[in-house]
Amino acid sequence: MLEFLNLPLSYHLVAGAFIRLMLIFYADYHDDIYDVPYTDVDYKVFSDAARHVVNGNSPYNRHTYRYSPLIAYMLVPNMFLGKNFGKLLFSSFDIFITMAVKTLVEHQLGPKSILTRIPSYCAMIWLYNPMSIGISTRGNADSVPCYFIVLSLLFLQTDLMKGLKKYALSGFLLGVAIHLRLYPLAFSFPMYLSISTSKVTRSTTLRDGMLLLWPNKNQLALAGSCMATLLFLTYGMYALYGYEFLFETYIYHLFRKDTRHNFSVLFYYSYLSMELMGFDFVKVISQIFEASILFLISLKFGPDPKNLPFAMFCQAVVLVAFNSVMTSQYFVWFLSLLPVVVHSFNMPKSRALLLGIIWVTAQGAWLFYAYLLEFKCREVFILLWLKSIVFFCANIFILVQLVKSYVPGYGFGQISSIKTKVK
Amino acid sequence: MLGCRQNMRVLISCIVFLSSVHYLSAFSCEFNVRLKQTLKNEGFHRNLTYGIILNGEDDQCWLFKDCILGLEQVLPRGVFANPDELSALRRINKINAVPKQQVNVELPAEQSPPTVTYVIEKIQNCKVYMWLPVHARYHAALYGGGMTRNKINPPKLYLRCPDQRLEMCNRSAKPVNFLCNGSSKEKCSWKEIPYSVMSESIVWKIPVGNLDHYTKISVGTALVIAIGSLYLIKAIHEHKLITSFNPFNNPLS
Repeated sequence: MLEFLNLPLSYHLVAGAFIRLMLIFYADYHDDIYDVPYTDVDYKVFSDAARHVVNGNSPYNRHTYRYSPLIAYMLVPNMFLGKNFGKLLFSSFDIFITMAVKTLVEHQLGPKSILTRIPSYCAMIWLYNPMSIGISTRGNADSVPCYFIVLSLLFLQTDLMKGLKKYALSGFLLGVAIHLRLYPLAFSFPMYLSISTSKVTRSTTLRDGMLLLWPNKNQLALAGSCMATLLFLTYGMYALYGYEFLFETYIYHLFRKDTRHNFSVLFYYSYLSMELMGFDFVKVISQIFEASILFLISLKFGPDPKNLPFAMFCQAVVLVAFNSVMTSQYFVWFLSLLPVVVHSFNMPKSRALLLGIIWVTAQGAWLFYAYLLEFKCREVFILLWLKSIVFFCANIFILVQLVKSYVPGYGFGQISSIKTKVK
Repeated sequence: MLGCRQNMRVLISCIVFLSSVHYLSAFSCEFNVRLKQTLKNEGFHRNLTYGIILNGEDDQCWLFKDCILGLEQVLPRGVFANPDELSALRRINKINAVPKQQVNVELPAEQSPPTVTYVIEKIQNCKVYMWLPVHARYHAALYGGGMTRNKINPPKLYLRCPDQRLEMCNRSAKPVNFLCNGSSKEKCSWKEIPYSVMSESIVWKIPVGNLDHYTKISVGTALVIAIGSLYLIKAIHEHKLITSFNPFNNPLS
């Protein structure tokens, strides 16, 4: 096993691509045989939207298409090259993410990391993650914005490009990610703070803190290119598809109230209050806490560039845990950032394993009751709500454990031993 | 010789046509059609199936040769057929079904009107087997919870044949115009045919939320979110950052 893990990353990239390819072929067989298909319903939505684009129509002619038209454009070859083109494309983004993670971790741990296999191990956490494999091969597009986020972080934190260009490129990539999915907007604040020349500390007053937000040249390049990209893409799509694009891609997600069962802690409450009018105090409480935590994470971990990946990871977990709608595909929001912070957790392997078991078990318990409801028509709403509470608590508990064990530059504890050996 | 053969064919055709007209008039097209409607599988995603036998006896099968059967199924507000799923199934020639009007697949039952779906299939050996994938909508929660009932009524059956035989046989029935098939917008003239139902009416029971739980769920959800958030805020606030790792200064030790 260790021999296999220690093979060069290029071998693993081939193995990762092979696994994905096999699953894409298996999906065709599975979908023909079984009632519950392997292919995600969203893949059909993307493919239908691409068909509308090919026919010269709006992708929004496809009912429930709620993404940027860019996704439909990407899937246009589905009509000419074969129905699996999109899955292959999303899987290739997985491979690109793996390569970007390796480069980023090498930078995080410095030249010492070359003496270890840490960057490769971190990259493999994404490459062989069953969730990332499943999501791309089922035809979900979430690996695309994840790639732009990791790439934006990579250019911001490394010197692959120098001077203002790197900030402009990082901002451009973040702008594309925000255009594709709204959630990376939260990352813009810690990213902005991380390149500030002045630092916020516990003793900084509110007035001084506000003054510190005044941008330097690098921050202007980052924020300016991010906003310009976002505006250009959004206005371009608005010019093509009008208000329907704005509503389906952004406004719908902001005010979404999905009453059908999903992992969210708010699901059963939203369902029961579906017909009730009036002040939605539970939703307001949830959003106030969510916004406060996101802000606190930005201030705590954002200002130091070393902690920026961890700030973004924590924010992604909070965004998913507090979302009023949560499905498995949302987990890649934080799973794509986990590999760039996983080496910084100072905890015994047994505890890491226990946290993993807690997360998977809490999810499995929810899925069991969701299965009883959806496929057996059993009245298990209250039990499903209890499982969503358990899953929310599991997410928060695990995040707290990760915050407590977070030590930047820890490198699975191997970096210090190298330092000692060098001495 | 050839002319004589042609004359013979014309004569035979005339005899067959006249005898069929006589037959059709004599029986005034008393279609002996039987339909068995069932709801397969369990859960929120199921298949409505239709087994249809036309005139049972083999010697009358020629009446339906090359004819097409159209089925008009009204689905109650709590049930829908997904138009995109139907078009995907049409593209791979699995079924030929099309909704009459636009269908919003996300609305709860209370906000959705009943919908109509057509299923079209060729008659072969006096028999037709049809199916339609259907899905249950979420229903508004009720005090006491439990299950809500969705009654699916039997469909209307229509017949369309390539020649005039239906015109002769069923003069009283007015033709109805709707789609010839699911693949084009062309409309055809169909004639409704009577039939007898060989199955019991279908009732699909769907679980609904319990409004009696509303207060408990609201307070419980808000409390869990608040306590979880405060726990997380405390952990973030108390976290002491070590900017460069020193194995002798471990925060956990």
